[in-house]
Amino acid sequence: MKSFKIKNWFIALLVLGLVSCDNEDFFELTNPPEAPWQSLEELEKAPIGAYYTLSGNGGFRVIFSAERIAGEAYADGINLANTEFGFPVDVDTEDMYNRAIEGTSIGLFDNAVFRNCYFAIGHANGALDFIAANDGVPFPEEGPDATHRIEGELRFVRALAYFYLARIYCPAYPDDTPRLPFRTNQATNFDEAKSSAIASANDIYDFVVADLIEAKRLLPERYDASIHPEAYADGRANKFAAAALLAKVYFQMGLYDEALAEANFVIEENGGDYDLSEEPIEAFNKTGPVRGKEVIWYYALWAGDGLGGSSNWKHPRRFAWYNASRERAGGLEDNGSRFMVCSDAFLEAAGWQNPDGTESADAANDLRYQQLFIRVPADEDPRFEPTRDYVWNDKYYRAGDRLTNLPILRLADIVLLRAFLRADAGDNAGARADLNMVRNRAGLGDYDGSDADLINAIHNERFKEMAFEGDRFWYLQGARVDIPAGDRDGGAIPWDSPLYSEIPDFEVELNDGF
Amino acid sequence: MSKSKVSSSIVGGSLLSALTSGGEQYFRGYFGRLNYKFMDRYMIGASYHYDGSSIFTEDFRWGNFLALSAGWVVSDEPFLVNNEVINFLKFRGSFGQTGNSAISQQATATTYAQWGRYGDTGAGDLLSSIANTAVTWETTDAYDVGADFELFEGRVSGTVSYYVQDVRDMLFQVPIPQSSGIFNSNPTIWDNIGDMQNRGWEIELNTVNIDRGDFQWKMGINFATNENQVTRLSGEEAEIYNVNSNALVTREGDQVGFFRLARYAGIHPEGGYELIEEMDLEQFEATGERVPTGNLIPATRSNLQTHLFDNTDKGSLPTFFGGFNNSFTYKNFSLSALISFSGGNYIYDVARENSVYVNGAKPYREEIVGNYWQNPGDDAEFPALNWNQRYDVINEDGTIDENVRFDPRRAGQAHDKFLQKGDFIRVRALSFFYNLPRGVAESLRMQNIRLGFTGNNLFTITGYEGYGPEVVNLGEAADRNLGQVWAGVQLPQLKSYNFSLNVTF
Repeated sequence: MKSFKIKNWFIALLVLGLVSCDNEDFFELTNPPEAPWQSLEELEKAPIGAYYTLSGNGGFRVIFSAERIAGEAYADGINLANTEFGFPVDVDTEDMYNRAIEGTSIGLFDNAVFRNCYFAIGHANGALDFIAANDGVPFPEEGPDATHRIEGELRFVRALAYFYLARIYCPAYPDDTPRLPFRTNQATNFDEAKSSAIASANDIYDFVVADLIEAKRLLPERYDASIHPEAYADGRANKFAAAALLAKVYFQMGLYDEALAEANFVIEENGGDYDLSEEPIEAFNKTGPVRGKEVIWYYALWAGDGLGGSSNWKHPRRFAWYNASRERAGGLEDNGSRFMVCSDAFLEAAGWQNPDGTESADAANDLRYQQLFIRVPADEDPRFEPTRDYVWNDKYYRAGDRLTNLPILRLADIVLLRAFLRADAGDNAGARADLNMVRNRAGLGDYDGSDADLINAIHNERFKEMAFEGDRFWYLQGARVDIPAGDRDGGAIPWDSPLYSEIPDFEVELNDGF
Repeated sequence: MSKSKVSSSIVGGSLLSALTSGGEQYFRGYFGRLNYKFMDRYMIGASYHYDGSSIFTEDFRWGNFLALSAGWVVSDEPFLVNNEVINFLKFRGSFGQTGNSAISQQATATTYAQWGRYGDTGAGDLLSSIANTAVTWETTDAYDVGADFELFEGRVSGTVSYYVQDVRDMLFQVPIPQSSGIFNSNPTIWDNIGDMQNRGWEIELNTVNIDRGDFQWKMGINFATNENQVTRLSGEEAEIYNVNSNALVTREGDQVGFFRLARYAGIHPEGGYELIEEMDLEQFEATGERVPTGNLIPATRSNLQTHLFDNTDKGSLPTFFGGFNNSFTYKNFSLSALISFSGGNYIYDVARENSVYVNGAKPYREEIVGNYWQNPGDDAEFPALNWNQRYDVINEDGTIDENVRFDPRRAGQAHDKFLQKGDFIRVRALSFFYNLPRGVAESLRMQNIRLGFTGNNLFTITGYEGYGPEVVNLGEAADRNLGQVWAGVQLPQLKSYNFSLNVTF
């Protein structure tokens, strides 16, 4: 009996061994995980996701509203409203305004710029790897260039993300200190996921330029309903967006000739798509798949379950710190969060305020001041109790409650950039023409100053035109002009002062590349 | 030949399980078992599992799991049969391997979510996981030796055993850097991260103290110890430490989840701000050792980032726990009480930390009233109530740095003022029942009427000052395992009183 059972046991074991050799079929899944892009239609979801990641995962984390705080707070165009009047203050912004951030990491950007830019980069890398793995033609049946636009958009978003990261987290260009995690491909295993290479500002800028050159080559000039999906008409990058961003990147790098060429391309070859024929407000008050005539690229915020619509909690909310209204567009009375106000230095430079603090007579002539700023006399603030006048920016949320598209690249920016580049290259007539184009659009007459003052006049015009769009600090860096004190005590600081955030420790701790 | 018995079985089984995520998963297992019992007092057994799961990729699919056991019923030996004291005595020992494959189906695949809407379009893709195709089974080798006994005609019974569990190739969602690109603020990837050992004693004793007439008193005690050590962690100088979430560190050679914290050193009597012990940063740079210099420094945001000490003796897991149960019956009355205890672990009272510094419109602790620094020379429990924790720091040379930030940069960059022992002893349950005399019940045409009272968690003795020493932290599984002693505001174990009336017809 016993020996019989043991024999059985061993036979069974033998059978087991034999059966187990041929097991793999059993584990085949009916619905195995597959690459998410099985068709061109599915690949269209890749750029949509890439754009989405820039707004991140919450209303306080949209990169555009956070990054602009740096562009203003380090520079001279803003002041912090006095807390003794009841205004709030953000401690990170206060540190930035005090220019006391050396060696610290600014939490304000960790959740917004750092996270979201890497979301965008990681996502774009995956889709670009997929296209590259198929030699650029993942769907041959659709034609050899069917994915060009998609690839161009992915490169555009990746370049934008790296550009924002480099500005916030790296010393001014040029700098060859390795600092930023640098991923050009998606991780494919544990070790790659755990470790990102570390790159310098120089490396990052070179990569951004390469991406944008390629994006410019691949992207179409404009939406064409006969060949593009309808979604491409709304807030998506085209050839001119890539060129405009490339012009700004070159400018930031001090490569003025290259920047000038891109600016020329945008201004002169856009086929009439973009001009300054509309009043300044028209860039800022659009909702739906609609843009102001000068807007080269806007970030769509008007629709979708993550963006836009009355239930939309992800609409960018950080603008409320430096705007008259908060996201519900309810005006001064509704916004208890505001505290970044026009500096007196800015208002006086703009000619909108007299040295005694009163409104100047010229202010009434400037459409920008009339349409995009609000002056609140002392003791008349509906919410706080200031004993002095304050002038608040009013560029955001201008199309209503949580549905205003955000212009990121607009023609006035590129025209004024070209004005500087032309003047710097000695083309004063060209520079004057560009400067006047922007002045005339704002209701002002031509510049009548001397050539010697021309560059300063261009700087000043840009100060007014781009105020509260987070431009000032980066512009002065790009122009290699020292950063004035604004309303602070003391003098100007060098343009390449160490005003950048440390890399978040949560990244340093976990990234084996460090 | 004396009596003997052999039993054996071979089982081959397959399992298809559909997960709630809508995915599919296939599991195939082969199982063999051999038990041999000789003279009803010598036992040996062996079993073998060969298991495969579709959750792993082909090269890592199968796991081998062996189990061996032996037992000796000493009390059946001729020299102990009919022993008046020892009614039953068995020595036993076992070795058993078990496998764990309970990981996300996304672990071995790079996957995308599809809800990232931009504009008025359909959803876009969002990267939600990066594949690690090299993960495989986690295996636990469990060794256990012990004895079961029954003495004095069943009046005393129990078990004593010692266990060692070697967990190999632990499956864990390893935090990975944000730059990996996964659309998650705390991205992770599954991996077999290393090995860990748990060992300790388990003792259980049940006694019938009195059993006389109508009165019976029974008692039960159980007690267990656990010592935990991470024996291997893959990667050079590898640590699991996510400063974004908490101050817990797991690394090779130490227990799972010990606390890395600054050392609180009181309030600066002239400046009114908190002080911590200084760490020798040069020595740390050179050797990696975290040792104090003996100086006190302000607990500024930047100092809290660097002057952190490893409390390897203060961990998150209890090192002992158990219970004590007594029950009494007398005629129609019965009374029982269960007392449980646990200790050896530490808890960081985040809820308290969050409610004693003034930095927002929120509830504050009453304990700060009258106990905060107000005037130079004050020996205070809490720092001056400065909005947003900004203080003017007095330097050694008498100069002052104005408006310095003291708010910690990360959740895990904190000092140990709010770290406390988690030891407790608690009256877990107390119940009292009374059966009405049968005559009374029958006169009401009922079989039985029972009145009762049960109270749960009536009384706790603990030095822990937070909401409760038994902390429950919801959220990600990995955080629950390691981070549940990072205790925010939470529902403590509820105290409850139940009165009952049971009627049987």
